Amino acid sequence: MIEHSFTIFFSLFSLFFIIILGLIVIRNGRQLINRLFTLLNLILIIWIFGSLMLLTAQNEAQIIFWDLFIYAGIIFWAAIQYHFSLAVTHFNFKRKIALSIAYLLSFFFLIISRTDFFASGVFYYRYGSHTQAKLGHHLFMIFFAIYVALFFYILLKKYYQEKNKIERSKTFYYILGFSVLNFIGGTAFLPAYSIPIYPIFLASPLIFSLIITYSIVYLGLMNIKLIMRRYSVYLLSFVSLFIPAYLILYYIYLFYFQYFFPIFIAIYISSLISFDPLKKKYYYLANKYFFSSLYDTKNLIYKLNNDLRSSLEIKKIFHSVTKVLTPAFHFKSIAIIKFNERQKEWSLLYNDSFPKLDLKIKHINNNDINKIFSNNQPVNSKTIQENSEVTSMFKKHLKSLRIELLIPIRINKDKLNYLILFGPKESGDPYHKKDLQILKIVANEIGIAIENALLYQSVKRFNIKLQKEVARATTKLEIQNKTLVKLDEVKDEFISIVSHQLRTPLTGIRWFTEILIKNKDKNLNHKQIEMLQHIGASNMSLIKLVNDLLDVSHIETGHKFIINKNNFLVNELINEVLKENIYLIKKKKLMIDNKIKKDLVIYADRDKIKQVWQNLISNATKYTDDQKTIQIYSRVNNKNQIVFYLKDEGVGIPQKEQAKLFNKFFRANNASLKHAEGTGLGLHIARELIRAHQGEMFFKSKENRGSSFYFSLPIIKK
Amino acid sequence: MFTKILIVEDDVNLAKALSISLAEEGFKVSIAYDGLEGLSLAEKHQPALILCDINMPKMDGLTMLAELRKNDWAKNIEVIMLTNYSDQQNISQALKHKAFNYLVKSDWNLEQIVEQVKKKLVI
Repeated sequence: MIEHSFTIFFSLFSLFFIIILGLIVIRNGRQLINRLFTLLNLILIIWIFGSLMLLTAQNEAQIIFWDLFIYAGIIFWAAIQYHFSLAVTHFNFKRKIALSIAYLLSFFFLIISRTDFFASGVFYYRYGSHTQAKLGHHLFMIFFAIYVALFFYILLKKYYQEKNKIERSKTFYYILGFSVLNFIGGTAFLPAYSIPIYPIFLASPLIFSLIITYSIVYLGLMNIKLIMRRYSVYLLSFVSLFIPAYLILYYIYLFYFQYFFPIFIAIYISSLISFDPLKKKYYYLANKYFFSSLYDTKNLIYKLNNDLRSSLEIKKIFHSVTKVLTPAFHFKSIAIIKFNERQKEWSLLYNDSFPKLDLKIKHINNNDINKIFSNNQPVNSKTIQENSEVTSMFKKHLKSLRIELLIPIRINKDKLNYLILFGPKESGDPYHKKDLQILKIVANEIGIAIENALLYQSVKRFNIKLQKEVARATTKLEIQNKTLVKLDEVKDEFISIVSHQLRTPLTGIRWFTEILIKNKDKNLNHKQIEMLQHIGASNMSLIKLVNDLLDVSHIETGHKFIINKNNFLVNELINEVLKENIYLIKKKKLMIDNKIKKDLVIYADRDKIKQVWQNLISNATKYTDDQKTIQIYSRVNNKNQIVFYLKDEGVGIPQKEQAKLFNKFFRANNASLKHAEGTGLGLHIARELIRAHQGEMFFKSKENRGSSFYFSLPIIKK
Repeated sequence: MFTKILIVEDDVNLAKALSISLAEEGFKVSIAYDGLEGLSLAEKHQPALILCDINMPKMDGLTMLAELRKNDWAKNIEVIMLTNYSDQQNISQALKHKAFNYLVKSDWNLEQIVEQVKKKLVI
């Protein structure tokens, strides 16, 4: 009875486990493979349940009933198992035929299993009972063996032909699991041939399930790894609460029955409370040891991106990296090292849990590193150990530091700047291909973040420097500005002195010369008068020079001439100016051909326009040879302007100097030859005066042929 | 009956030249060498015309003119401002205190100035 109760307990546990596994597989993957697996599980459930019922069977009728109940499932085992192997590998015509035959035969055997031809009579033995096999059963065994053999043949063939490592090991676990089931489970047929055997076959479904579960977790069998983790955690949490609770309550029930109810409540409540923390703990353990490469790629990169985007400090970046990567990869240690361009060696930037890395980092040889990362891919320690180009010293260091994985980060395309070092995983699992792919993307992200942070820092530094520079420059400018303002005041004062103090004595000379020339007392002779006239002329030149300088300084300081307009006769003004130049005109016997109408009146500033004419006429007389003609005329253009012309037959202005003619202090080369004096201010001022009238001044000239100066004034009638 | 003219000019030489020319034309000329003196001489002689410099010690010409115009007796005195500033601000300042001629001394010969005086006095 003790033996039976153990068997019952064990079978119940298996039953429970298999039901759960079957449910998980079918709920989370609707592919053929998952469905077939669930069907196989169903057969196992029927088998275990039937076996349990057999143990408790009271009479022969019951024994036969439950035996047939088991066979109703088992008969289909070989066909479905064969079907499963095809789903794992592939279908073809022959296999499909074989599969159809398997199902047909299964139905055939299902029918004949109801007859004495299949089994009759009961064999009783120490551990139970079984119907006795007849001819139909023998045939069934042959059919069963053939299809089991076919099944293993297909899987073994796949195992040997498969090149993908993961697919290969998946196949291995299928073979292992199904071997247990078929060979240990197969012993269940022995009692049918009157061979008594301990029902170890009952353990096979559980072992099978454990193997398959393990490979689901480890290899992602049937694509339900993620869900598997959740279920196993829940199941484990439940079981580890349920079993102690059950044992305690059983004990209480037996010996302290009077306290059973309150203790039951207490245990019930405390179980409810501790379920959640326990679940979390199991999750953590499961992640750490069984699902170390199980993480949501998108989520990981999204999280890292989010964290890195807000990190502009190198330290913060490393912190984020560690924070995000640790729960995904469960590595024991992580470090980030940097290549120092100046010292040409690697230095430690960040280290979490690598012992003595700070001391040993110096021994890492950059040549070795460059050899390893020539193609810029993540590299694990195994690859390095197999790399013959790398020095044994380097390999030794890697081993002693327990560096498992190295990820390169390149900021400048041609230079390796950073390395992320990873220690082994907590679970001891190797880093998978997927891990490396993700970590490569992550490394790029980190590289960009570091680059941003460095840029930000240098911009920040530059800003501070710039602020200081600006402050310094501003102070300097302020001082300079003060000096300039002072200088400007000095200049204004100087102009004022020139204008007033210089003009006053000049005026004195002018006026007294005039009084003397008038010679009221008639006591001066002709020669003396002539000399006085020369003093007067020289003095007038001086006055004109001072006036010109004042005008130029007026223009230079950005002042505008104030124009006081009046109506006046142009010819009257021109005659006044000609009179001022009469000495030279007579001396050179120049012809003045003035075609301006006698009654032409313009509205302008008479003094300013006079200044312009003075300038033009004095130039013309100075630079024109004897007995030549100076023409003066005017016309109205289509812009409602009156244009005045003065055309001489003088030396003209050389072509290459024409562009500079209106510049202040400009004098043409040939002008100096002709007439040594002159400041080169006259035309500059004249043009500005015309511009102050909203007019413009131009000229045309040919060297040795003469020049035409003309200026326009808007026609205003007042 | 000689027409009285007051010259207010701090430069002795210019004042002298002006007075010679005007005296030759038959005017009775008196000279003041600053604005204050100009005011008192104007009150004393009540001239028909004042030739007045702008930049002078003690009181400048524009202030003197403003002070002068406060008196009833001075309302009809003709004024010709003389200056060597071509500075426009002075001109507009001066214009506030009734119309008058404004001459830049160095640009004019004595004959022209006398002509202007005669024009003003309508002789």
